[in-house]
Amino acid sequence: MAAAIPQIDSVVQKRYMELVANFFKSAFDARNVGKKVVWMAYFLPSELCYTLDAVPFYPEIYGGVCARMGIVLKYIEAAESFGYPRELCSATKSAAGLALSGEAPPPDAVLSTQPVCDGGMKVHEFVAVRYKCPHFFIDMPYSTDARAVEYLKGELEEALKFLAESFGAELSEERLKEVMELSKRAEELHLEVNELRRKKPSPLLSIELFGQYFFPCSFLGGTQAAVDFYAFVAEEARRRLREGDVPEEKYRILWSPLVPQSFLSILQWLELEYKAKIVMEMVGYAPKIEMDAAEPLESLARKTLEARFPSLGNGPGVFNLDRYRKVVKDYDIDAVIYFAHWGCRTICSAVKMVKDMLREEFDIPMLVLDGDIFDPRNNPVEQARARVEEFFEMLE
Amino acid sequence: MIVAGVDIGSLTVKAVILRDNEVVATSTLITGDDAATAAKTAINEALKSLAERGMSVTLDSLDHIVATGVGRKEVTFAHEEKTDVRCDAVGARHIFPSVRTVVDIGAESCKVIRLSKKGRVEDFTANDKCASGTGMFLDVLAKVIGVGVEKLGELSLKAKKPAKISSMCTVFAESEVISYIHRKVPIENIIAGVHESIANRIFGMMNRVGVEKDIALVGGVARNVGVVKALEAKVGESILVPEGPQLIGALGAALIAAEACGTA
Repeated sequence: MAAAIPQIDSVVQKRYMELVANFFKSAFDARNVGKKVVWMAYFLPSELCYTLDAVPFYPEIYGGVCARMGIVLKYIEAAESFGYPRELCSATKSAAGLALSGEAPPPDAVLSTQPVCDGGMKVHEFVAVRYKCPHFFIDMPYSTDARAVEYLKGELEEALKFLAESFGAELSEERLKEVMELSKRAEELHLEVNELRRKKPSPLLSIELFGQYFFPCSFLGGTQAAVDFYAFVAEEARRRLREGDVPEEKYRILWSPLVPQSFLSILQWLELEYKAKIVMEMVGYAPKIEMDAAEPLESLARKTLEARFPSLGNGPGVFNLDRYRKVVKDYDIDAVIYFAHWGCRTICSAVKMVKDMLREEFDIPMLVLDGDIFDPRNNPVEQARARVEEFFEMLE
Repeated sequence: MIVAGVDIGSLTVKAVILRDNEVVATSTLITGDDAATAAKTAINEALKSLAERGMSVTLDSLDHIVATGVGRKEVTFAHEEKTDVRCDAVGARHIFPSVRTVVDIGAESCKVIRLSKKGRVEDFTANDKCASGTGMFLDVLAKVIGVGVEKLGELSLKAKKPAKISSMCTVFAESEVISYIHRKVPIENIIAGVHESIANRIFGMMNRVGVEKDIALVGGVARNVGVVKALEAKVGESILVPEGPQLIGALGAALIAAEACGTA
């Protein structure tokens, strides 16, 4: 299958691709430089690893990179051949397939949790069993209140101790604070980029980061690389605004919740040809989070609970709807495209609730695109284009 | 002012010619593997019937042509292309001005479109990845049962107890039908069961966009009275079916062409 990465002439995209390549290269190179690799569930905080000088490897995120490159199917099919059903989430299957293939950096430890879904939780257990490596389960609370933060703080502390013991490493409070200082800075700069994307017209395209503006602060949280990257993007956005070098914008779109990595041509077509600019992705939206490096674990608990998980369905649906309300207002959204990922009960269950709220409260239409975030077999491109054309014709 | 609308579906291509907003000729042909040629032939067929009535018009002399349907992008000689959703809405609304919900069941697609009181498209949904509930579904099952697809509707009205077709998948539904045949279940009951399964699927889609009265059923499958009755029973409302329901998309395209010329 041919490489599927839709590249555009963008310094931001080039820099992002370098960042992602280096991030995964560090996991593949880890053993050679004497570092430990931790397989992490989607959106568990990378800061845990960086505190111990270990390297996080997110198999579902790497599956997304493989989907972009058009090579994910062999991992999905490996999982299906092993016994995972065709209907199961392709992100889960790509993680299982990576473990089965032996082509991913082998884990020295596994950290898992129950959000985004129980399939994701189980696949990490499977990875730990397959590689016979220590596994720690972080019990994620279902809300974001003070009690939940306190509870998760304890869970993260235990996870850190578990990793330190597993690796025979020393846990340094000083190092944790340093990591959290960088984490806090990356979150602040991410918010700054999000703020710049609110401008009309918005200076950045979603396709420039393949819809993953959350990537650096989620998976490189606690590193200088994440800080430098957001600073670069913010500066480029300001330059574009200053010089009037802003991509044309006919419609302002909220894409929700995840951007399909095997289906990026639809984003490119939307933004470049249709001038329907995706000014925010629901999973990339985050409120301002109170973070204090002097209280590192509490800050990390707050970030973990408040940043990305609620947009993917952790916590009550009402909380999720409030985020939609805020994004629609803050970003002056014209329409929402909801990508109902095949095999995801959480995402698909919320469709009606979100669509009705948008229509009743904002009179904003929502297009539901049925498809698959990674598996190209479930993404008929022409049908999706037809649906999008019909949708925009409706807006005219 | 003479304009044309051409609807290139997955199975058939339909053309409608309008003169001063009146339908003066139509044609329906098998699409085949060359959508552009099929579209041209369909329009020429319709124009030929005009010539037989003493109206000499050529393809090149048409004032405006709008293409719609799955193959619309192939019709390079059309002046513009519009989506099926828009054309179905315009066509159905032209025939039934009170219509608020348009259901289009074609050979391989089914769509539900909700319209505002003024006829603006407010929401729509369509089948993706699955041909159940479409004309192709009926075609496959007609072959298994061994009757012509055009006879399915009338036969199903004789059913006393529709058979339960539980699978939404065309292939699995086919094996269910075969097992009913082996169990000597009356053929009309099997056909009625197939129609009910289509109605169930369409009803789910209708609820996804929200049903507003009046409801119109268009597309080739609307010619099957059994499907219409099954859907009416499921929805609990009567359903409007235009004459020549398969032509509604092409009619909508022609009306949009007329509007472009300032005559609609």
